[in-house]
Amino acid sequence: MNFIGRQLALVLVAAFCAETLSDEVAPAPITCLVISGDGQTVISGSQQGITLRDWEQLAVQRRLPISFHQLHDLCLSPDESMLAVAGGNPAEHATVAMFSWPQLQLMWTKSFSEDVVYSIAFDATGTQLAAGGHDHSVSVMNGMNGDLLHVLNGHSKPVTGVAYLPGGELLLSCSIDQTIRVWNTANGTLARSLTNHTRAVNQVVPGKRDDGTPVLAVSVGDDRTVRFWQPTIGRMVRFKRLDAPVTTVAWSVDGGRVFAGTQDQRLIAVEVQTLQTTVLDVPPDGWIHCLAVHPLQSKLVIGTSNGTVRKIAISE
Amino acid sequence: MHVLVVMILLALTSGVAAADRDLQPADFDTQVMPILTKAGCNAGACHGAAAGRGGFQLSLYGSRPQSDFAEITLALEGRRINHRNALDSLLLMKPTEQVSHEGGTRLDSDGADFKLLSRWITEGAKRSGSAGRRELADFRLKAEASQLSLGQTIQLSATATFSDGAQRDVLPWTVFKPDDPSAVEISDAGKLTVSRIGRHVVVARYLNQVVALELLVPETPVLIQTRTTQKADSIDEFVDARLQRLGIVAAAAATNAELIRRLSIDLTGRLPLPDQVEPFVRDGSLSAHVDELLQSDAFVDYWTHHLAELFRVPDLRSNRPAANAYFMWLRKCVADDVSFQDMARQLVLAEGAVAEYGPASFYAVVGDPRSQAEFLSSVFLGVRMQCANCHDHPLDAWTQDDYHGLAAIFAGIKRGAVIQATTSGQVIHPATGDPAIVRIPGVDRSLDDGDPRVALTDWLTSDQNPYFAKAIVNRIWSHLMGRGLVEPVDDLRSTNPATHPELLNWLAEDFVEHGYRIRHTVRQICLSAAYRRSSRSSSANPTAEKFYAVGAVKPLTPAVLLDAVCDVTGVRGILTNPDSRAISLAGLTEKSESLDLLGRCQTADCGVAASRSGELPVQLHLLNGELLNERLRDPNGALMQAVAAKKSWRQIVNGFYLRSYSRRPSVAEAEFWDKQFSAVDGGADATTLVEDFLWSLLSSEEFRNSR
Repeated sequence: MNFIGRQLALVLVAAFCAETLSDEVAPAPITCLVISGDGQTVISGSQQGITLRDWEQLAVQRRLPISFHQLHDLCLSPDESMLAVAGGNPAEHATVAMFSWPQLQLMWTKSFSEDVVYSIAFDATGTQLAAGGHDHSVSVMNGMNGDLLHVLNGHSKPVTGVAYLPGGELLLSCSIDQTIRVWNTANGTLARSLTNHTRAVNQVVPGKRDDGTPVLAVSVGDDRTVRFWQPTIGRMVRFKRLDAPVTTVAWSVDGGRVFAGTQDQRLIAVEVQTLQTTVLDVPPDGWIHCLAVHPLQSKLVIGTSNGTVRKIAISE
Repeated sequence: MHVLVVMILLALTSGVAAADRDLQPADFDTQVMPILTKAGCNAGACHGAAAGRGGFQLSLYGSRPQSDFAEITLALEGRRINHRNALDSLLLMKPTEQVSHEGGTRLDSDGADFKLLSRWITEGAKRSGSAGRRELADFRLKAEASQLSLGQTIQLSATATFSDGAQRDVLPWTVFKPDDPSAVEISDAGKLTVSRIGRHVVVARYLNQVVALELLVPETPVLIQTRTTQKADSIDEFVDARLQRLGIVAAAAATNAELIRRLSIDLTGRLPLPDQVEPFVRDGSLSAHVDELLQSDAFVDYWTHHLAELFRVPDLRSNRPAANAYFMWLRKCVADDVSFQDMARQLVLAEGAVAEYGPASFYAVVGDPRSQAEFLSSVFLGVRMQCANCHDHPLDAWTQDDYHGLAAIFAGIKRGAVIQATTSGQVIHPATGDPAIVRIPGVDRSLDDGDPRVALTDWLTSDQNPYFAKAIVNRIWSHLMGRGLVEPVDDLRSTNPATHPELLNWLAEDFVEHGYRIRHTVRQICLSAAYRRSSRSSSANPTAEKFYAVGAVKPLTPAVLLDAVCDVTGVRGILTNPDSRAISLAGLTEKSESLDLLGRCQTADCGVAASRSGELPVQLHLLNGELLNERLRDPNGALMQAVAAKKSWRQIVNGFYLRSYSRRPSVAEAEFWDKQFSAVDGGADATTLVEDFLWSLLSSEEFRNSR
């Protein structure tokens, strides 16, 4: 099959597999997505609040409004007993709220700072929660009650992503200031800065390695690059330049690929070892703000600036 | 029916021009963006700065609506727009200061603009697709009158025509910027009042278009016929017409004594010799004298000096062989009256060893492609393109694509001892992060393979190029008349109109018709009545000089002043070679404390604003420094030689008046010096007095200026 033929086949397959559901309440951007560990529930966040959908049909099962204007991130605790959501009112305050999962009973809520939180992450034990926000800082909180443990200062512009490395000793944060910072979680000190990006860094996500090899992290940014790092030693292993600024990224279940969403409304699979790319055809529907890979199936979901949650098939 | 009622109600409550409000949904490009511009959000001091402000970055004055739309609605996951409740949107809360805003209150929360923004958000904060997108096709600014009396108020109107054919009154969203805000007041309703006579320019912006409006406020409402002493030629027709419209009376012609000094300084950078003065004062022919000066070696020396400053020869002071080759090439061009068109071709297409081939140093005086683009656009186009490095030029048509595309033309130039054009090298476009595409400024066509400088040169030196000829004739005019028709001389743009646009066009066309010869244009100007006007005027009109109703009082440039001091005193020795003149290559490149103290230009701005010697440090240096005192006391100098030759006091006074001022002393001056010299009777006091006499001449305003 020639190149055009392969692309056409990809388009047809993707179109056949794509199942979409628009958020019927209002076209607010979908800013965050999580799939439960059993693969049955898609949890999305937007200005309308938290929305639960069943995986098969992406049909809305439940909506939970929020008390603040912007919901930018949500994540499940490692044991999936809690759901943390974060955002706030721009130029007013950040808010982090914790719900029991799957009951969605509010456990605690904390407002702090003078602007929103863009990203949150649990550590491996679920006892710590890191929140990076518009005020340039990363706040480390007690996951059980929201008490503030550390404030990590060092970024010079808003923090767009936070993530713990497996093991929990190190925390990654990325920022519009073009850097990724690696923090020691024990004492909140800066271990190192990763400075290869040349524009805003939009997300950083560590891979999951249980074979003893060093953990890789992937970052994406407005410099159109997908960069792979060994954050424990601060080395950039390799990078791939795409055609448009990259807004979001997620690892495949096996860690062999990452999926990157771009401002030009494309979804691109990047092979970690070879950097070979495959464009997954997605109908134009705004920026891809977020994506989540299904833990059991060869599918992922994307959330767009037009308020759409769309299921996409990915080849093995 | 319901629709009509709603429209009427909306018109009554919002105050928005009905014609523009009825677009459903509200249009981002042509309705939202003008509000942001009018409110100042995308100004250079606010979010329109190259790095944005407060983490919010808009294109300067909304020149890139696509990126602005993304920044407003999509960046940071859409934090600035609240789809659940439009009024909670940061886009509305910040400019109304419902939350802290460093820029203060920019919108009235009860105003029409706020309501339109709110409606746009409620409608989904969308932007039309490219197929149906409404774009600005034309923007017109009109005034009830272009000539008005002092204190009179007139109504402005601003009309936009869009790509869908619609015409709108866009006055509420037009941003006005008068050249003199203290004299021109414009209300929100577009009522304009001028409180100062003269010419005023108002620049108006709507979306990405800027236009300039010229207003004339004559001194008196009744037009007065100007008085000229000579038959008007073409230059004078334009100048006099302007004076008539402004009601300014032109000064009488300068005396022949004033004129010979003015001509000699302007054309040769030297004071006229005493034996040249009196014959010309008696019955000199102006045209014959101008022609004589134009053919002189002194003219070649001085205009080579001018061009050397323009083309930055001083920047080669650390590479004397290159400086010498560059300077000598320029000198040959002036001596041979090479057309400026040919000079430009040779310079832009130059390759070779800088120490041997002068034009190659056109690439040696700057260090990188972007600087080269700015250098070329300044000297040959008379435009300041550097604004377009970071953003589309806010007051001109130049875009970032133009700037970086022009720089890309020079990306392959290898600099060093040998200038070499190669096909390697890139200029990265900061907006895209990709290599910039080679591009001739303002020309939407791709260039053929090969050296892109060829196409650039063809465009640059074309008779149809709207800048090339104007840029150089404006510089010539500025040198001779004391100020450019466009000021500054490297800032030609539609929003900085010439004081005499038709004259500038005429001069440029005449320059082209006469083979781009500098001498021709110099001659044309020097023979005009406008050039010959006296600098002494009875007119109290503060704009008289600006419109050439009086001759300009032009301070001598540092080099000319220093040479004049040396010539009058007969003592040189300011450079390594004691015979070198300050306007020589050595004067441009050698160390010289005197030249530096007098304000010799030492930067890339030399060709833009030739330094003049009227400033305080210059005066102090002349009054108190050794520059004069050493030369006055020098036993081999002209003064002490005259004393030693036992010339009479009157001979000394007359002789040095002629050398310094190109005139004999007036009756009052002669009587004054007679009285002074009669009071001393030889000896030390007489020597001191004679030194004081010449010191007073050389430190006087009359000596330091060309009148």
